[in-house]
Amino acid sequence: MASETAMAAENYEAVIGLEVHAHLATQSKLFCGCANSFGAGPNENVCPVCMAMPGVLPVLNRDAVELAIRMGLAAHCAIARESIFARKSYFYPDLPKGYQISMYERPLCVGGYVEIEANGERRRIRLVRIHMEEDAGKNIHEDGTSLVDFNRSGVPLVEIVSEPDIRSAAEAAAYLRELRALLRYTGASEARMEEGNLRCDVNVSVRPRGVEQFGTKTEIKNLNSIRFVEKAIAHEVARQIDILEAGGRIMQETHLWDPVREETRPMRSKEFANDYRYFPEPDLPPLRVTPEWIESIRVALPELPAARRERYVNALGLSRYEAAILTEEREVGDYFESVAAGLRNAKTAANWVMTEVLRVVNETGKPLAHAVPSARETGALLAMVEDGAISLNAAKTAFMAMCQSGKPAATIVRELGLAQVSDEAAIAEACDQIIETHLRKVGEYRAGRDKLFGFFVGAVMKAMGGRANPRLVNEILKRKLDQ
Amino acid sequence: MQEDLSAVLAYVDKLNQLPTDDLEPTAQVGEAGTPLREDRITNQPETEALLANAPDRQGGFFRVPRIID
Amino acid sequence: MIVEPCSLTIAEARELLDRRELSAVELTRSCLDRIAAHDGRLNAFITVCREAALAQAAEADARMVGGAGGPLCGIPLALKDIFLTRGVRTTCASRILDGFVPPFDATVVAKLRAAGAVFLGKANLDEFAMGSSTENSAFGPTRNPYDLDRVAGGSSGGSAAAVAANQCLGALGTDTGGSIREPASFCGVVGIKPTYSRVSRYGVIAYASSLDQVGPFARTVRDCAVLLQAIAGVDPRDATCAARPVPDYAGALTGEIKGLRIGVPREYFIEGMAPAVDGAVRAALRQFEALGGRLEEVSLPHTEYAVATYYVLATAEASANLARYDGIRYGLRVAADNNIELYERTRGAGFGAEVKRRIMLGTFALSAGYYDAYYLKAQKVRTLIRRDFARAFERCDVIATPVAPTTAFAIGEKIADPLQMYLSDIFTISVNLAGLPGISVPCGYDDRGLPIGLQLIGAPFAEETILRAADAYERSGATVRRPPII
Repeated sequence: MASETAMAAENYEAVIGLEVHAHLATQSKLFCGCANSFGAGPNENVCPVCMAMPGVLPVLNRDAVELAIRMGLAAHCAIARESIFARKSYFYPDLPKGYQISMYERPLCVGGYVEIEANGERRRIRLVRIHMEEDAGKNIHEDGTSLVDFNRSGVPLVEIVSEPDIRSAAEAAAYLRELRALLRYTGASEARMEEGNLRCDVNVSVRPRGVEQFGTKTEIKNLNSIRFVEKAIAHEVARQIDILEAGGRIMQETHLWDPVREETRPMRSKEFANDYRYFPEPDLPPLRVTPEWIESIRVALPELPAARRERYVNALGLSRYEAAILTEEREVGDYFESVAAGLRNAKTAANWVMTEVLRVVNETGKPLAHAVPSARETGALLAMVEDGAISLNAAKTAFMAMCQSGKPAATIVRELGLAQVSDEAAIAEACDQIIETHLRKVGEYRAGRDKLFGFFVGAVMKAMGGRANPRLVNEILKRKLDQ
Repeated sequence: MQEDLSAVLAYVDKLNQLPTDDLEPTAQVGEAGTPLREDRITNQPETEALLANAPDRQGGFFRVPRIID
Repeated sequence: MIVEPCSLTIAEARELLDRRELSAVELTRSCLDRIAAHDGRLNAFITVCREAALAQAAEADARMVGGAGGPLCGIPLALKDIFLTRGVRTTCASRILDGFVPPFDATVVAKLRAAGAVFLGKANLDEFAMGSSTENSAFGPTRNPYDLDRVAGGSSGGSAAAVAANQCLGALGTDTGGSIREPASFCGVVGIKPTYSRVSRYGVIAYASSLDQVGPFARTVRDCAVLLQAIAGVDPRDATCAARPVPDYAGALTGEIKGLRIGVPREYFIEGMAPAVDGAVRAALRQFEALGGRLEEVSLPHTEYAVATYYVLATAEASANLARYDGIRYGLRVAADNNIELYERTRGAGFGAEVKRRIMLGTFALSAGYYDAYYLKAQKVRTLIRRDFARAFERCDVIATPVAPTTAFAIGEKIADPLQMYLSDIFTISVNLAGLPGISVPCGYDDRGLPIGLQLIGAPFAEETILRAADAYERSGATVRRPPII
């Protein structure tokens, strides 16, 4: 029963930790000079090293380290002066060496935190660590066989492990969004879950409220969208509460998320060993990172989402909500600021970006730079609105035309005849005409029927072909009518 | 095989005679020459050469029995 | 030609080749003929590359005519079948690599190829370099050219025997616990294991990554120096390969060792050594004194723990290095319905008993609950062993020891008792653990005519010193090389 479940849920607290893997945006793979890119045919971005021929050896990609450090700094981690790669052994057909080169006892980044806002509450989610490792290949399943492609084998990853500080599906989603933003702002990763370069495993347990001890956790894998992460968590929390309420015990299992049925099911595979037999990778020297290198990376970091949000609220007067939307993607914030630079009121730019710009971006599915006019042109258009040269509605029309044609604002406004009449004399004349034509209504209005004002405004606008500056029409009409 | 392994393990146990608590483990000896490499694509596709030794293949893929999750 | 070209030293052949009194093709043919005549019994080679070798030799001749030859141009060599050779099957003496033909050369092979050397073929070894006798090969044991009923040593037995039997002028091997020095000793040739990281391991099938090192065999110290020169040096494909410049090894052979301090570790002269070995090594030490060296007693107190340390660390690393042999991308595949069976059956059929033994040992040493007691412990003892040598080298320039407690044992004698076999590595293993250079130079024969080797160990990157000392000893004529019985 839904109400029973809700009541039971009140008595329990969800304890959630996330393990996120993100592909690093390098040119080449982590340990060899194969291309790190999508879309190649099977086993085209492969060499003896990443397909583990006998006798091959790994050599570490410097840029991968730099990107990982950027992310570590963005997440307030301590960067280890010396970190050690380790072999993590298990058998799986897409793991060509029979071990993955990862990090174990001495990771690159330790500690750290990410700030999120969910359900109106701001919280800090602590990180355990961030380390570097290589990805495995991919399997495609057909009837009776599986086909193995090693294009993805050896692609560099960062693994970001959170403390089990997350308490709800909504918080998990907020955490993922913030991580994604950090990865993109720093350029460390494109972090697109739909494309598989951001993956998330979730550890979920529940415990009675007030109890300190952790319950048994289950791990959920194969989540490739934030929506699914939320659903899977909600589903699993409910499942565990039901079991506990019925007097049962939670088994420590790994579950796979089934995106079609939208439910979890236990993994049947025994191909995952529990004992990975970690030991330091003898083929790689310890990774030594100097304070100078870390500092040079730190000073080159762009403004990060949290700092940008603060600045938008404090210096530009935006609301927290507006700041959150505009900082989800770095390009959006960059665009907004460029547009706002030429305007008197940043809010104008904010509203415009949040409504018109993002709508076009979402509808066309194109990247910002290709979907909408340049920030300069958009800024020029909005400046016209601020100056009263065009109305807001006209601007919306102009904007769509600019998106289609790529022509500058001034040209479009001229071509479509969108210039707004702000000539007070002309408006006054039109008002006088309307008043003269509708003297009886004027009388009724002056006698108290305030609602008729709208009629007059509409009539003046119509008479002027819709191009009168509405503010001025309102002002002048009011003045004349209230005489 | 079992006996041989037991004999070796018994022999190897002599390491426990040595006190080693304060010692650093030695994981590597020698000097590393190339700790980091430049991020450049230096490999060309060579699918055929790499698949030439495959015991079972299908097109550009290696083929294995159906993997069950 | 009074002397068969195949029994020339590299230095001698170089002279004749440069004076055009001998062609590379003639030299290669001489080796190939000798292989054809005797390798049926000796079994030093797994693969002989007759056509390719003659083609390389013809190219070398053309290069020399054009004046572009170098020290190794036209010199016929054997390569332990652990080095990947482009287009030539590479087996590592294992069934699990059935049919494997590499698409690229190991770095050291590429270097030698570029230098114009000729590759006669792939030499036999203990499977995956695990062994001390070359009896663990899927292709049968290699016999000792001084007594065909005895082992050639291992794991680089084929390389050592081929050089000793004059089937080639030099060879490459690898040494993880003694696999160059011990067969060199058993076969009466010179073999050197360089400092760990001196030579690239790229394209060398891995056994134990932190211990494996590539090195040359030859019939003289000078020849070895020339070979080492050609293969040493930094490799961007091997992160663990040192960037340190390579000195002129042949140029270091001044013949002068006056004042050289020779450390003699008391722990290496033990009961259980064959008297002939003990006698030959002591005689060699006296010869060093006669040449102006000064003997110093040193102590390497943790020697008795070296074999145990090695068999934990090497097997642990090997258990991971050999995990890639799963029947999916190359080599043997045994039919199966699911992937676990594929993996287990392929490896069950493809690996020999010793390899399986070591994989199991290594897996155990790394497993949860045992890692600290075995793997981590062994790494700490490794620190102690390294320290022993560092302290000893404060008081001496080289350390002199026997290579093996005995001369070549009979085929089948030790194979049934793995632990016995392991213990015969006692004198060589510490050197790998400490990453030091070590050379085996012939210092005598026992009363059965079986060769005895003297080991000289150097400080890190002091190959010049041990080469110089070994060369001085060799040139003194104290030990004259006897021809093999075949």
